[in-house]
Amino acid sequence: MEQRTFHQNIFLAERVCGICNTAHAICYCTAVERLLGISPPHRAQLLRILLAELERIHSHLLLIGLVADLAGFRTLFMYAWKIREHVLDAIERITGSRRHSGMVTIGGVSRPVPGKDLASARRSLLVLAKELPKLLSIMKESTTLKRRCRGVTEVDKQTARKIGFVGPNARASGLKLDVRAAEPYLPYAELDWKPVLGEFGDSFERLIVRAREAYQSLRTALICIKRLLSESGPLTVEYQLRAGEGIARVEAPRGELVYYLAAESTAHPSFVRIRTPTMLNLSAIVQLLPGLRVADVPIAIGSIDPCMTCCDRVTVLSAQSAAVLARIPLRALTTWKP
Amino acid sequence: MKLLKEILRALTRPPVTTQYPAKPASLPPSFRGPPDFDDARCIRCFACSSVCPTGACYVQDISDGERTVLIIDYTRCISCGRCVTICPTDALHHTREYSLLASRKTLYTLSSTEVDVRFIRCTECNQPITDVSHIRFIADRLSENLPEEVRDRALEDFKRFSSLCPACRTKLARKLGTSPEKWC
Repeated sequence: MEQRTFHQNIFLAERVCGICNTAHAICYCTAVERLLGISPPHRAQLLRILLAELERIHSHLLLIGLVADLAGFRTLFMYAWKIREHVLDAIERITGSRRHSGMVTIGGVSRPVPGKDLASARRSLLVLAKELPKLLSIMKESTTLKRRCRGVTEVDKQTARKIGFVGPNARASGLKLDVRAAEPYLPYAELDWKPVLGEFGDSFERLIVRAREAYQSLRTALICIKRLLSESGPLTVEYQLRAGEGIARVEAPRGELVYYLAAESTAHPSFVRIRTPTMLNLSAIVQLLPGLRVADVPIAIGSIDPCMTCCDRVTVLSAQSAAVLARIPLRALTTWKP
Repeated sequence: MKLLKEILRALTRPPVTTQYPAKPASLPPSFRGPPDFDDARCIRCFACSSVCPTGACYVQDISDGERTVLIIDYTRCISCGRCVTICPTDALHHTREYSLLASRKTLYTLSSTEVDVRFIRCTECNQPITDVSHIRFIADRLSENLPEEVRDRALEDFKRFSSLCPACRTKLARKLGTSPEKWC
């Protein structure tokens, strides 16, 4: 990233993750905007919320399908991925592609969205609005899913905080940990939005919290579209490059995503650091694995929504005491010796 | 029970998938395919090649400053649309091509976008500077945006400076005492 210009890096940041790419783009651009001391126009902020929330729905539905598959419940897997197509249709209609929108840019949003496209995206979201409650009730009633996931890696509020869960995993334990509420980087307060909290904190609850969150994101997205259709305004602001540093926290579908960047007054950032949410979630879940039945391990790891490609590092545990022996980057693994 | 109902309903419905090669995919209006050129509009400023994040759009000298070619390599293009946004004359646009299958790698490179660059040469040292249409575009913009009282003088200055390469331009500016170094 240090070898590319600020603008070229947006597309590189977007490709850190295949699932939550808009969160990466928003986080990177917010960090650059803080460095430059600018703030995007209101319409651009609303469009960013819309893209981020649609992405959250798609990401959560993807995981629900995956865990259902891990639990041996193939029909729910197919169902979750079927209704996920509606939200992908909406994203495609708004941005021009299913994933990798390339829309978020420094100082705003790069392309305008015609009202016709927003209205048609709204139509597919309304279909989804009928399907999502059905999905939630299927999940709640399903004995297969309940018996496989209830009670697996149950975590209470204090433990969740201690082991370092972030995002929906922490919220499933009742821990109110949401960057959108704690440090509003986008105007969520205008859109009648509140964090979704669970209580039991086991693998099942993590799925339920995600399904509820998807429904809430859908509501936020629909309000957003309504606002975007009724008001107009500029999409970008002018800016001048300058030296400094910027840090941004964004609530990605998996939890808190952090970008730090520093710049001298050139067209390239001089230093960029990314911390992905899976880094925290994965190192938390490995502490809960000892004592679990082998059959429950895929469910436990799957339920934290791991994104392994975002997290190219390896944690080495002691076989006896489960103590963390070393954390090594994947690249250094070939030369690493215990 | 709910799921059973859903399964029974799915039995009566037609399949959601389509027969792909037989039936073409439906594209959204804002679909971003790999970009294509409009040669008549291009002013050869090469802004597209300097902003491309993957190096898919690049400039190649094919005969030592006599002829330069602008190429878009579809194997590297990620359809981000940055070149289309940055183009000052809207010479680039997204195609609606989604099936980029080819039997050979060379087929992907869009060689038809070869644009001729007729270089202006520096009147002092004979170095190639830039294309005629690029200079004309800048001159047009200047005369459009400058206030009436300074327009003629500025265009005269522009003519004088635009016929020089950057190095000779600096020399002339130093000689005239207008170089920005003076204020540094």
